[in-house]
Amino acid sequence: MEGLTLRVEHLQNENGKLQNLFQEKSNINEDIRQEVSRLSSENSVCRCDLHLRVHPKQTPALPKEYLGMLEYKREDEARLIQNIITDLKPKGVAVNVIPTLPAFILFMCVRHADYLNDDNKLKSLMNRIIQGVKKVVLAHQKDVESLSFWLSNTYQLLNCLKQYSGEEQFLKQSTPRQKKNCLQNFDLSEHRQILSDLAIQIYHQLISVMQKTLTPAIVPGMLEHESLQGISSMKPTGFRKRSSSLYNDSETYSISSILQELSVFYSAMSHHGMEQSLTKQAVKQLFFLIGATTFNQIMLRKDMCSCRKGMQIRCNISYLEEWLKENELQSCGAIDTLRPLAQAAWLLQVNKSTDEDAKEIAEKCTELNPVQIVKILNSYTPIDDFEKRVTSSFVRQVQSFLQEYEGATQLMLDTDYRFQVTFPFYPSSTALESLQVPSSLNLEFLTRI
Amino acid sequence: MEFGEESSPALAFEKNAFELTVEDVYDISYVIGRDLLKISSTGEEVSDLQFRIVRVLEMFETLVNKYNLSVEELKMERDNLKAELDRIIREGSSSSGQTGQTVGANQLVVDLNDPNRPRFTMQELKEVLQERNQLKAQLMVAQEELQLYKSGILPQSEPTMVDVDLSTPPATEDSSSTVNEKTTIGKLFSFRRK
Repeated sequence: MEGLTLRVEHLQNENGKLQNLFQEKSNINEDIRQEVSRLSSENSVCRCDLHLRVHPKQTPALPKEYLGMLEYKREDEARLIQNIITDLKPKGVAVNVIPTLPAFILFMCVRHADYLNDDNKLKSLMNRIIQGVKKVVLAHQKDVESLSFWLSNTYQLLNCLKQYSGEEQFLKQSTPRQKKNCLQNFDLSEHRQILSDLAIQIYHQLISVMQKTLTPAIVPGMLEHESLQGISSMKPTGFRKRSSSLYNDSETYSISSILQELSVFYSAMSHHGMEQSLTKQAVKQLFFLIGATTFNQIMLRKDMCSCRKGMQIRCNISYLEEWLKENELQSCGAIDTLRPLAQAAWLLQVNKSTDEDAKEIAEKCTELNPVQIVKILNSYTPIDDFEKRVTSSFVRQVQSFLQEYEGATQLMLDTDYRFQVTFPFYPSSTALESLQVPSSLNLEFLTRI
Repeated sequence: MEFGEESSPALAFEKNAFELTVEDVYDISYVIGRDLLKISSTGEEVSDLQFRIVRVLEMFETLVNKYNLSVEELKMERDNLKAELDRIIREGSSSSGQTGQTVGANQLVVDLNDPNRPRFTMQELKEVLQERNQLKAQLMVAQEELQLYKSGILPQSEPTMVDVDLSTPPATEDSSSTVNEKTTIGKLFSFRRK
């Protein structure tokens, strides 16, 4: 027992020592920062910075005005990339509070290289950044967290490069101070293009990973699982859980599993500060997959072509719609991607006997081509003996109303189709001068200018 | 994300301080970061506060991590010591193999050949000492009487010979007592004095 007591004391001592070291270190850092700012302000007397004119050099009592740049020695470049890109974990105190801080830190380094008018340094840095991000994405190509994190930061860096490029089109929402902070010597539009391509790559990788996880749940959840038992009672609870387990109580996939997985993805993207427009595009793409996969099953399986299934599908679609509303994603166009599926479900439920019925079908199924409509009608399976099959004369009637159709005639939808992703410009209101570098990022070799 | 939804990051705020993990610290960081975003408009005023909060959370992360590691270390240490103790006890009992009993705490092993081995119980000793004290008192009384007779204060023809018979109960004045009640001392020493 004595041994334990001694150990406890020992550890307590160590703890105390650690805290003292911490205190020392922050004190020292603070001193260094103050020294550097004092020296930089002396150096920048010759530059025509507006803020120095407006505040004539008076008392040092004013808090140091930073320029919003980060200086590093050329030999520290490798360490910079290592610590801010390669080894950076998507989960940590600094990046949880400010998810796109790495992008801003990198940009502030870029700004300084430009400020120094150092062509080599700037080129080297930009290339290293791009290579670094490529590598880290490759290393974590199956991890939704890492992919979202770097997609978000790459997009932010792209936006910074545009906002501070000096180009007229990107200056519209900048504050006067931000306009001053624009790059002065170099045009980085070529690097922007490369970065943009990289962002597209990361986006598609992210979509692939999400689709792979989602796919096994789609057909069971949307089609096979019967949540309706006469009365639509069970409202699925779509709460987020940290571990994305797709099973509900009865150990099979249901619509809840799908909603849960969507929530996991959505929260990963928003946790990492992804721009809403990009998140919306991703959600739309996922909804498309859900709709197309389910639709193709209906084309293939007669047992899915019943009135009951039609009702189930429409119910599930309404749950998906509700999920969009809960997460304020109504405007992303996701629900439109489900229209072929929705119309197929409607077709399963509606009466299919009279001429008026035939006309209505031809008019309403705008998202379906005649081949698909006919397939559904022919595959339609009545649920009991009282219901009649769809007569071939009825089918011919419908076809006659669709004679003028001039579109695609494929039966199945292409589940691999990807909407083109865009990265609209979003300026940030962040004031670069106010950004600091948290110590947990291990970037003490950067000097705040 | 509004109330009513089980937002797991916010649950970290309700945990007992000593049960926090580093993951909880990250969740706390995320929630605070989002809240800061809500109040920051131009991006300047909140910035100092934001970075001070980051600093504090960094220190918090370090402490929580260290605390959890220490707890783990202490647990391991304790388990090791327990295992060692058990081992030693087992070894200890196997070397004294005669009785085959394990010697636990508060037990004594006695060598039966040792002349100085403890033989009597506490109770036995107590009784012996009590009797001795009584007899001593009686002896003193008897000696006083003798003195008095000798010096002629007490008129008696012959001095009474008092049989100090250790085997008789003390209260009697019967000189020719042959009562042979065995006192504890008698039992123990079994001899008579005249």
